[in-house]
Amino acid sequence: MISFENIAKLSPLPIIDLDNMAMPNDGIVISLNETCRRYFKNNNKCKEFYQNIAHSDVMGKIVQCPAGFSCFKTSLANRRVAFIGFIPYPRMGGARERELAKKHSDVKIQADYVAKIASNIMRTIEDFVKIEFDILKRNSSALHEIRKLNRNIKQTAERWCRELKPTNPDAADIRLVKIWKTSEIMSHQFDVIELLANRDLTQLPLNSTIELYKLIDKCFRIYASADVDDRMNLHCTPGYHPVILACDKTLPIIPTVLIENALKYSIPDRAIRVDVMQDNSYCLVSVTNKCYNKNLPDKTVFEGVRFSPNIEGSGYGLFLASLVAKQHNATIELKTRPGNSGIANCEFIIKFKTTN
Amino acid sequence: MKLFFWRKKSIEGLKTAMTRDEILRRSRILIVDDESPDLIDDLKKAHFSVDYVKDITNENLELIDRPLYDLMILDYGNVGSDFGSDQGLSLLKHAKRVNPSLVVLAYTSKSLPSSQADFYRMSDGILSKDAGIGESMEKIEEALKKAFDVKNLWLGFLHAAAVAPGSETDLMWQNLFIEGVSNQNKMKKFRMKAMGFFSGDNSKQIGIAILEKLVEISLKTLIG
Repeated sequence: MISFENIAKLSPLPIIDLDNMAMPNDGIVISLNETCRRYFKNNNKCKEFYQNIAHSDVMGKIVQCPAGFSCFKTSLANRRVAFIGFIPYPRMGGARERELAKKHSDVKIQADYVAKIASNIMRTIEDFVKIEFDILKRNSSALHEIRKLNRNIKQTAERWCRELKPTNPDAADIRLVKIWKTSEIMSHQFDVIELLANRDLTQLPLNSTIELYKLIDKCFRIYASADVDDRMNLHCTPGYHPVILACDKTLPIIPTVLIENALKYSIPDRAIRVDVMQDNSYCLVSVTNKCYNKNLPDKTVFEGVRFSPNIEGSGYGLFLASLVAKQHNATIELKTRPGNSGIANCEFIIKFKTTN
Repeated sequence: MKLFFWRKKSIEGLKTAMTRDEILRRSRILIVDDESPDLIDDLKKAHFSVDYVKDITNENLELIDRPLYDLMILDYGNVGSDFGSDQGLSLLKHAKRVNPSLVVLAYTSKSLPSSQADFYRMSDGILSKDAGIGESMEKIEEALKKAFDVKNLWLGFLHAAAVAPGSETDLMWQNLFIEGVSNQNKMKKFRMKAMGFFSGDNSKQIGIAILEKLVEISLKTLIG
């Protein structure tokens, strides 16, 4: 998924994200002029205008803005954007535009050239995506061999644990359990990489039934072994055994990504809480952690954008989790609450439709 | 005046009440994989009845063309070349065509391209090769429950009898079968009638085997 920031880096004209309204970005040839910047900052008419543009049927058309400049709505990498802050030639008309054209001769552009800019950017993005997928696919075949080795480690360790403690293998020799669970985490990482290389997997049918609590409990146990500070807690409504229709190839990615993220972003001595709750015919799974205000995610985390450059990670985890949620007709909601002491509350809630 | 509503009985309302031990005792599993997996030993240790072959070819076709197994655990790579160029997918298509009540678990950890993703779609579930032992056992037990599920067997029975699901004949037979669940004489009648319905050697064999299984399971079936 290409972020808006990366799209903006390819645009010769100033550009605005119509799906996530914020101050427009400079173009690489034409910068956002001061008049536009001031209008956008101080004048609600400007924001309202672009909100209307986002929802109106003017795709591929040049429209004049309240300041007298023009904008062009288009779609790039499945995002609705608009090139803004230019004056087309031939002009749209009006005294305000005439005045601006005299003052800003550097933003004049031939009208039919704007659509060409959009299609050139689109082609560049497509080439970029093809290269990215090709690299991921090659990596995926190479990783298959490593995955086989990991499988041997994981299954051997698990067999050994089962021999030592047939009724409760998790309670076998802690060093052996550590090897087993670490290779389980590795398996999950491979699943994420596989899905990244082959997103068609999110189109697979939901032809299995899965006991959701069992799955969450399994993922929880795996990551609890990696949590040296023992911060993780799992809670479930007593006697609640939610069953959902699922694709067993992809579903585990959701709890895996959410729990791993909570561990990664959480403040060392603060609890991480996983809840499995009933909400009529739905099952809610909530993962809550405390993080620093500066690391607090926003909804762009579901778009494959890294929100905290200081912490390791690809930035794709939650994007993939949201695709898998969509496949399962589920939703992931993000609730954040910044705190005064610099410590924020971060909660992800997934809502699944149950069959029982 | 009283109004009487007559509701047709449906297979959908039936539930098989077989215990785990019964399923374990009755089931037979076939593993098809070019590399002998350690899973065979795990299954044997857990008292499952399991057979293993490297591949299904024209030489051992009866393994899937006859209703010997309830569950097939099928690898994707380097198998099924006698059935087409799509490896495990070609074999899966053949198995589902001749015996749709055979439950198949796609057994691979490979990332398949979208053109081969039917291997996942057509199978009854996915068992990743790098799934844990406990997890694998759970998935296999779940698949065996499906193999002994009345609805699954009924679809196989209809296929062998060349009857379209949802057709008048299907609904009529469902009624007869459900009446037989609570009345063994009626079940005998249903069995006799159904026996004469199969045509062709192969579908007759598969049809009769499924029918026997259905009749046997009917003793363990509850009308929900």
